Amino acid sequence: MIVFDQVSKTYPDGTVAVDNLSLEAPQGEITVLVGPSGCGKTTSMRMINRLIDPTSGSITMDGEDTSGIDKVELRRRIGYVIQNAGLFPHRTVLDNVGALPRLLGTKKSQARERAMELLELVGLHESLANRYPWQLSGGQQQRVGVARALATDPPFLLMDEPFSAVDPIVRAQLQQEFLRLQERIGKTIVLVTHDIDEALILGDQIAVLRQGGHLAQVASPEVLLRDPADAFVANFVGRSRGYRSLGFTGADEHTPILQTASAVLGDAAQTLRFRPDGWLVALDAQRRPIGWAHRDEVGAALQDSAINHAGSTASLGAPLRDFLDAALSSPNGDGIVTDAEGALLGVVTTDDVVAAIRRAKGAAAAARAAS
Amino acid sequence: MNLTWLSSNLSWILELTLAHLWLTLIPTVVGLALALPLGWWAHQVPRLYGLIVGTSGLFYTIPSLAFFVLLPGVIGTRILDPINVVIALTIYTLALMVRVVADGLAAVPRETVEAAEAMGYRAFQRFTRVQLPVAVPVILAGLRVAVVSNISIVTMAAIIGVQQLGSLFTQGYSLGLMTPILTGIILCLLIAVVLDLLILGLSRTLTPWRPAAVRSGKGVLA
Ligand SMILES: Nc1ncnc2c1ncn2[C@@H]1O[C@H](COP(=O)(O)OP(=O)(O)OP(=O)(O)O)[C@@H](O)[C@H]1O
Ligand SMILES: [Mg+2]
Repeated sequence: MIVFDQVSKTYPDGTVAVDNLSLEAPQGEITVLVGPSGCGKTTSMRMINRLIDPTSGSITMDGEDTSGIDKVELRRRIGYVIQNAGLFPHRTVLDNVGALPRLLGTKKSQARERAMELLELVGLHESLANRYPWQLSGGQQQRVGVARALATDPPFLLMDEPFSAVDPIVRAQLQQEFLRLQERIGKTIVLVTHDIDEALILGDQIAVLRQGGHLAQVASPEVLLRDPADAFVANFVGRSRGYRSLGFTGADEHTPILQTASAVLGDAAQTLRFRPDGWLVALDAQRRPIGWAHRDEVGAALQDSAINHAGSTASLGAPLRDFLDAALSSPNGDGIVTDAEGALLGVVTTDDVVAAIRRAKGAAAAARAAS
Repeated sequence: MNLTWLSSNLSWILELTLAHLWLTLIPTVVGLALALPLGWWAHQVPRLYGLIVGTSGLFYTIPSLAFFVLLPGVIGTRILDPINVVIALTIYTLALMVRVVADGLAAVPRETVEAAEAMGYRAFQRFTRVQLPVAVPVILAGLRVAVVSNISIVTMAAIIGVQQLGSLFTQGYSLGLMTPILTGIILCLLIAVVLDLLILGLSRTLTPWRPAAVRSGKGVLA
């Protein structure tokens, strides 16, 4: 656990970057520091491994005041990942990952062996091991950066905008990989980002900072969306927070999944049975939904050209947000529901989804009143 | 070309060539060794950059002949001692290389150095294991300039009687012969080309990590 106790930082030029910050980063969880540019996120994070010294207040790690630990010893206990990875350009991927163990006296062969394991852990193919950083894509460099930070298996990890330098698709992929990785390694992580969406995806706990390093709110993503502390947080969390907060609750067992007419691509027209409103769900050979098809569009057989692809699907255990989206995007108001393998289960009506959302809100309010 | 003169002076010419090599190489190596900590210091403390780089650069403006003549008075050596030449050239190398080292270190990506610091590299480890290796191409490109300039400055030492290839020029002048002068010029050129290629080769060997296009392109040809 990392604890900030009334920590402030004033730079020599008088800039107050962090003001009286008290915050706990719980063991084994991801704490995200988020806020607008210049609000003191990086400064806060860099005070943990004493790249910057606080002007006042104290930071403890597992109960030990960091100001009493030798800076270098402290840093070796904390993995560090930065934007653009900051890899050593003169070392191969393998030797970048093994750099710190080598510095601390691990034998070269041993360091390389461990580095190989780490590359696999972060999802890099071993054929990249002997490349130099300039021969990697941005996403690959970032993965090497994560592997390097884990090389000595430190209990803590600091990450400053680790996924900001890659394009949105790669970023989403890295975020998901990172969450899976964290499930396996369970480090105590402090991650800085200016992107509230990233914070909501990655954070077990989110600390929203405002200009001047004031802590505006610390809460789980769900609470942040449902119950922002003030207008600044509400504004920062942004539009559609009501919709996004549905991402944290699943549909309850009272939500009816109804039977629907369906047919497999290629079925002859005379065998097709449509719903009263003229629609059916078109399936592929594995009975996975492709989209909706209307009676008026289908020719001699069910062809791809007749299919409306607009509707999204929700799998049974998915959050309410997916159900609502499936219903709203459907051409007939009914959302397609699949099982875990993606095969068709049935449909859910917009009214039933809205009712489920009502019940979830009621349950949350009751839980809050009880606590 | 006067072949009689050449053949009867062959062993002397060889001696001069070797002396010239030593008088060039020792100051180059020592000067570089001294420039490394000074350049690091100038890079590390931005407030001192101007002072350190400016002051050391100033030495380069002192004429070599004045140096050779004044040094014995300042440090108490004999006027004919080759050590005067070595010291003067060491100072020239230093004057040139302090800026090169400081600028080479400044060209190392900031986040690379920052990552090393955050990982727990001590300042000296950072310097030897990260900053210096990455700055090698810049530093050695500067060293090629220093070596070539040293080779030509050394010849001036003939005027104060220190033997090296420059002695061929004074010899040729006093005998009224073209051959020693031409021989001296050709050998100086030869040494310059060989040393330049050696440093280039060293730079290539030390930086297998650079993109091939950069390594072979005009980028390194100072
Ligand atoms: N070395 C410094 N000297 C003076 N002021 C500084 C220094 N470093 C940062 N600041 C100031 O402190 C404030 C906080 O900076 P910090 O880098 O912590 O912000 P940040 O939240 O990480 O911003 P960003 O999202 O843009 O990275 C800013 O106003 C910045 O200008
Ligand atoms: Mg920042």
